[in-house]
Amino acid sequence: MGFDGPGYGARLLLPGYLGSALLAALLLALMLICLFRARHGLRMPHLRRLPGIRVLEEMVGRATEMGRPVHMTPGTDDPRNPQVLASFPILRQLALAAARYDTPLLHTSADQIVYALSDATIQQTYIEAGRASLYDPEHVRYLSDNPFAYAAAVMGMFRRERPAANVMFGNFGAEALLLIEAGADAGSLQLAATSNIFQLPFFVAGCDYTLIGEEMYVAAASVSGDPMLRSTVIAQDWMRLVVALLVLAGAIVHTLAGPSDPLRRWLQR
Amino acid sequence: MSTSLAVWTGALLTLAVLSFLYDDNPAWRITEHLYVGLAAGYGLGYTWQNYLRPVLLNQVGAPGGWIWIFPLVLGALLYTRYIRGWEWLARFPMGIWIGYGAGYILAYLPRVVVGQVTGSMVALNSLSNVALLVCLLGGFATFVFTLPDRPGLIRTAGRIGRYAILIALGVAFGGTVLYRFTLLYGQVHFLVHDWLGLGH
Amino acid sequence: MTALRRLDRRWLYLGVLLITVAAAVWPLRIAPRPTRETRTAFDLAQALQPGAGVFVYVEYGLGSREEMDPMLAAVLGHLADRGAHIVIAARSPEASQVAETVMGGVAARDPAYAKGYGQTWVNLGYRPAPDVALRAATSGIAAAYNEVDYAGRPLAGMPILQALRALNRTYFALAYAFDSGDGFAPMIYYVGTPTGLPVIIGAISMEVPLLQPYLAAGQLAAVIAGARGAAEYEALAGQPRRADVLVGASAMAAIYVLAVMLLGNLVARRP
Repeated sequence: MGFDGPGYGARLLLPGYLGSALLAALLLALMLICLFRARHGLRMPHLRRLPGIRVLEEMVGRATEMGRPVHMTPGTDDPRNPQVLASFPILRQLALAAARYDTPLLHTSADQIVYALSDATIQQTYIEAGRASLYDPEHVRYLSDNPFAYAAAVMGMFRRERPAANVMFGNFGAEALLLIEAGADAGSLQLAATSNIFQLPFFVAGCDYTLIGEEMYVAAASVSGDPMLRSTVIAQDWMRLVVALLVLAGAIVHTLAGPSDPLRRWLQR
Repeated sequence: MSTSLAVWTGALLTLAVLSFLYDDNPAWRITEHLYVGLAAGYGLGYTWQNYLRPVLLNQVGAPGGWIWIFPLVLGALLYTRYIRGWEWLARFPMGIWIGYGAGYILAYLPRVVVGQVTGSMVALNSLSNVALLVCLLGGFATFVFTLPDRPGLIRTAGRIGRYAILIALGVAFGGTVLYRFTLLYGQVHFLVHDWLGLGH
Repeated sequence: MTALRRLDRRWLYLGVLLITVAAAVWPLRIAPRPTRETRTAFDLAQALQPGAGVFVYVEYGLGSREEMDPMLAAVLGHLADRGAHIVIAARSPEASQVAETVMGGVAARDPAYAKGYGQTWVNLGYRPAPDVALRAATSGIAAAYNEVDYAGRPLAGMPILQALRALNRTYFALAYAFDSGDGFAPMIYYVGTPTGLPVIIGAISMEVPLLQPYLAAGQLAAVIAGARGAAEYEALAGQPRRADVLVGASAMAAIYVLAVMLLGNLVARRP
């Protein structure tokens, strides 16, 4: 029976939900602790620097030397997707470097809201960097909300404008491979980051730098310097540690206790 | 050879798209622009036919359906993002949207995760179970970010985890290549069979 | 070696094209031996009593039809042979059309289904916010789908939904998702795990490795894996053979890709 079946009205917790309720509560508690510490300027652990992030500046530098533009895409999903949201700090970082080196930054998107947000981010970053005159609305493009039509347009664009660097940071579907191939064909240095496990194999095989899954949020948090973003990443890190220890303990108990394994039974109550 | 206009259009457009593999050319550019334009038009029709019209007819139009006016207005606020000075209004639907999504997933995800966790508590009595546990813990160690100088054990585990992830991605890569190939096969089958009338 | 290293990639594209054309003109039929997973899926359907309720969720769209249509047709054909009562729903309007076409083909072969719409099967189609619809269906199908089927016909008079009221173990025996990537998770989260209904995923070959953890944890009952799984299922269930040609073509492509990768890794030099 689902949640609405008879007999569940008076219960606080449905059978089978004890373990999940505890884990969810622990994760929330860790997040609140981290947020509290971040907000009050208390000491927080450092985040490991990822190689993919160090190269952002280098990518823009390369484009400057070659006299060609840099391209960035947040993928083809809408801004409810956390991967798309994580792309904005990276976009800011890229726009700062582009402003510094006076190199055109092309941005393409496949969602109207993402387009509006990206356009505003780029314009704002250029203004903050004191290079407002560099902002060109023609460089920020909404192409299509159909992923393959979007990819077709990007492919044509890459053939004609040949960006020297291509940053793909966000959620991608089946169009990912078309984008990678277009970038490789244009001779772009490519950085990709996604949590979409179906497209990761292509990114790993076809790009110069790849950030896998959680690494993209860490990248966004360390680039932005935003204590809020950092605190969620740290809380999740601790949570991973808890789950890893739980699995290890569970495996040992299961090996010793056999099918009557009390830990597993308790978690599934 | 086919005599159908639809088949001929499909076949010529397929060839025009494939011609991109040789080089950029006018036929490809026409298809590229045609595709982007078609997708925009199709998107409009699709949204009307599948989202707006059913909601307006079946929900807003039904007795007592006036209550749906509120979510409609709330959704329309998303477009204030394009009106200078009114952008802040778009935050309300966005906040509700994201909050609802997060709450929904938080209600259902943990139980699946607990199922995965208890499913991973394997008895260490066979090589494959030990390998499973080592790769799993290695995978966790790969994604430890808060220890800048990771202790040796975690660093080694992380390396094992990274290799395990790469192997898994390699397997997925193989599956994807085959899947993509069936897509190409379908289109070539259309050219050979439906258009040229050859083959089975 | 140097010539190979400088090889224009267009020659590689041409190779793929030639192999594909060859596979389309001279089809190579390969019927693989059934794997344990496909056999489990088959056995679960084979054990159904006539009139048992089965929920079939179609997620894939036009882009995956080549690989998935034969699988969906084989499973629906088998379910029809077992006399199951089939409730179909879709994750997108496109998937709703796909489901209608494939089920239409299957129903045409069997009078109980050809004339039995609303009694032996129904296509609920698609509803905006598909996750919410799926979750709501576990406590009441008709309400979750706004009381109408995919073509807007009222569900109220349909005997099949009088008998199969909600998507849970009280009414249903099995739930399927035919998936190209986005359908398996909602099925596990909102149907399989909360209700305990056995879930079988018909998957494109790409996502098969990623479903293994769910299989191992018992959150999925079985997986039918891509064109290969479809060919195995067709053979097991005695359904019309459509997927074995795909397996033959994929095998030819796999050999080619493997050869190119080996060659590429032998001659490649890291910059």
